[in-house]
Amino acid sequence: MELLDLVGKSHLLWVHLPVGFIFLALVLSVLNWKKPNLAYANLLPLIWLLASISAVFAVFSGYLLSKNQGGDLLFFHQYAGIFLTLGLLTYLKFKRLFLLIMIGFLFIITIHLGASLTHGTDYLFPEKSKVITHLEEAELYNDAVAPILKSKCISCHKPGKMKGELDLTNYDKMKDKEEIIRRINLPKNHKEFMPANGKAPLSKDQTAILAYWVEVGAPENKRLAQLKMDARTISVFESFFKLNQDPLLSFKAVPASENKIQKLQNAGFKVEQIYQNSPLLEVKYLMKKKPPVKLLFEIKDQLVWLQLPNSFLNDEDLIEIGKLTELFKLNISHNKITDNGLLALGSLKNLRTLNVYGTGINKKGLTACLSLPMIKKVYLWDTNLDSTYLADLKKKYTKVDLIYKIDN
Amino acid sequence: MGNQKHLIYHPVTRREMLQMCKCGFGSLALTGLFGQLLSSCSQSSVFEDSTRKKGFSSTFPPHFLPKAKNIIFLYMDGGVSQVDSFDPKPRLEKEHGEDPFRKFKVDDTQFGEVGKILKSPWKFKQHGASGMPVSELFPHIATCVDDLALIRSMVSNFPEHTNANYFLHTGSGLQGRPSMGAWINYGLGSENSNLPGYVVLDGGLVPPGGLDNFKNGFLPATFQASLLKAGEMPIANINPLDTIKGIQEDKLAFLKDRDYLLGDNLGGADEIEAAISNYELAYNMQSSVPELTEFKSESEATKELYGLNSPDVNTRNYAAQCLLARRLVERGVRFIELTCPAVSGLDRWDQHSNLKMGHELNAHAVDQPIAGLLKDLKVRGLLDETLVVWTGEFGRTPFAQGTDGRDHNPSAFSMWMAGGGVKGGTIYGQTDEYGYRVEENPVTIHDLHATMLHLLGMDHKQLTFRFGGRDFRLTDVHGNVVSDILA
Repeated sequence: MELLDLVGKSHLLWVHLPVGFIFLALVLSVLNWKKPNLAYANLLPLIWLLASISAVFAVFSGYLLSKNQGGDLLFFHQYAGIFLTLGLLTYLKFKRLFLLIMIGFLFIITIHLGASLTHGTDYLFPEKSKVITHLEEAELYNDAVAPILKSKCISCHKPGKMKGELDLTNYDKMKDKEEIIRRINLPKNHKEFMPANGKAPLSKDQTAILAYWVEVGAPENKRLAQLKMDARTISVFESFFKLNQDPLLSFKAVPASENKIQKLQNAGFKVEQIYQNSPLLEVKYLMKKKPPVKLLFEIKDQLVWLQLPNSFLNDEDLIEIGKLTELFKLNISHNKITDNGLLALGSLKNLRTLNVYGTGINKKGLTACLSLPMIKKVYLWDTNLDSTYLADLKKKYTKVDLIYKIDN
Repeated sequence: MGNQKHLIYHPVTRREMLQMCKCGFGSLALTGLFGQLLSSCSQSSVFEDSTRKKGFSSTFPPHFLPKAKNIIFLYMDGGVSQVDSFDPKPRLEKEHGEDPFRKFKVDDTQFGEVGKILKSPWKFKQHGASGMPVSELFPHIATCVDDLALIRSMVSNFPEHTNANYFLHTGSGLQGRPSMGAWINYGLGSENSNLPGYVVLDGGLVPPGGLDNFKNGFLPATFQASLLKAGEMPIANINPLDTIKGIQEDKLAFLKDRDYLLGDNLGGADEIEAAISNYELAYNMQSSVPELTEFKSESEATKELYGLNSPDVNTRNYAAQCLLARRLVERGVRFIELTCPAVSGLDRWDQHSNLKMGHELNAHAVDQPIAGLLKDLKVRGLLDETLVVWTGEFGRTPFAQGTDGRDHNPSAFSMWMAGGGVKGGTIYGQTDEYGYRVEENPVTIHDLHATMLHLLGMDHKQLTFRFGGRDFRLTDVHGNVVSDILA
């Protein structure tokens, strides 16, 4: 019995043999039909024979594998496979064109259905779910749990199929939810592991989300904002909804021309691609003199990280930097700049990180910086701003990280 | 030969032998020639790869969005005891003085002097918002725990210093492979043309295995480490000996001319190219290094923070190295390793006896400077782009060697990372109740290397170099990124 089980499980392996043979046989037959070629003709009977033998074995092992399973997909895959094999055997005897066409047709259907069984029906064209932009607005069941069940479970557990008499398409009909969690967490080779029979298992995040859902009482209509989550759970949901992606990754720009980059390099700037095949650029200036800031305007569409610490900048230079509207990260620490210059940075709509430690920044300039729409982090150590004022400000702007003193 | 009549072949004559073999000789020679040609093609193509576009100066873009730009590697030479530093084990306290053989399976140790179970001489306390427990050995580092990602489940393949050092530094336990700093500079290039991209700050102790820990191996010679000593003369001949202006430049120009000639004659040998660029770099360093090692521009508060005014000379030395490390990061040096200070009377962290005194002196030397470095980097915005790595080559046993020491233990040790892209305040992995073996989520040295490269934006599987007919990696055929500690 165990041996038969093993043969059944090896279906996934053997099935690739007839796939290769049939494909080769079809290609050679078509070529031979169009322009008879002795070399092909001599080889063809052997290939067709091998295709047939391996197909018979694949059907046999597939039958053993399918014994305790059901489903529309499986049903059609099984019969397409059987008819394909019959077609092959017939073709060994009667070389007819219509048989060849039928074999080709059944071949495509069988392999497509087989792949759908192992990879899931949404593998090729994953269904686009609602785009979540803030974690709080997501609904636990409708936006996370239901899509997971849909992608990994309901191909078997749905009305009409009801494996284990379980219907996971409808919230009201779901039974024993703890059992789902137990089953998906078993070792993969366990008899009761779900999804059964080598179908694509749930990912780590998907498992964690279902477990969390059951842990909080499997609610149907609760938003994440209404639920308590620890940091780990939050990060699981963030990666599930793809919220933790660096915003730079979705930022698009046309690559800068090599001439422009060369021009900046010649002027002493260090211009680097942020990563391979990305148009985005980082610029540094490591010479011990004042950089020609005006030139940077040439690559303003690609320039996202600018590092000019200790670069003898003054307030006029900040007016030029204020024109580099796509900046995400700006370091102008240790420069003789004041609030007058900093007010010119108001146009930096993408700026997330601003480093102005060791500068002449004061309250007015800081207020302007904190009102930037995307600002997340400001470095303010070693400035004229006093720490009690900053401590108060920190309480007010909870979404911005103000770093101004050495912690002890 | 084909129509033999006798059972015994007549012997092959010299002429016949040559006749038979002539084609073979020729083709052997030809394959040799082609082989050389092909390998030299693939070697140079590494540098003119489409991903390494010209016009982007001496640096190469990483594979994907990087979290860190530089690494400071704080090497705790000799192996810090995990159960005395970052991995508290109350059970050792309870069973102090009992026979370890009755409690668990004891592996062979380096010295075979297995003593009794030894409790930690230091108390642990929870620190920071994360509540990470740290022992009294590191009171300053304890104030930074919310920035640390602690891994308690490190394992190494070697129970002995030299091999374990090679393994930690090069990903192979044998001598001669390229060091991780060389790999990183090979992968990303150097940002600063006046300083080497890979610097080892020599605190006075060269680790067992010697300078081979810091070599380029089969990578081009220009990626090897440059050793800077703490003190007035960090590098030999950093002040030019020629006092008359222009003479040194003329000498160098002449030398370069000759080198190019020789290089051309030898078909552009890698060693000559490296020598030429080393001379250029050395010349540039004569102006950049004195400026680098001059701490005049640092405020008193900063010096105090690092411990430069400490009464302990070892603390002062290590503080100077840490401050130098920050200054190197500011100047775009990719990989900086700090070796341990030579605390007199001690053999590094390798306390086979006298654990209490030895670990205390070592910890006192490095604790304040390291904490100062982390805080200084943080407040200047540099910790966002710098990965600080603290580790030894292996851990120590939970039972005594003799009565008051601990022997080598490669089956479990603790290390931490901070800064660029790691999740502060996390503890990853778990050891058994004695801190002897890893019980959960083991992390290998290859995993550590893969994670370090990942944070720099490099896929450890793509960073390859063709040598001796195959593609080599820092992680060989191993390594998984420890994604659970990434921010």
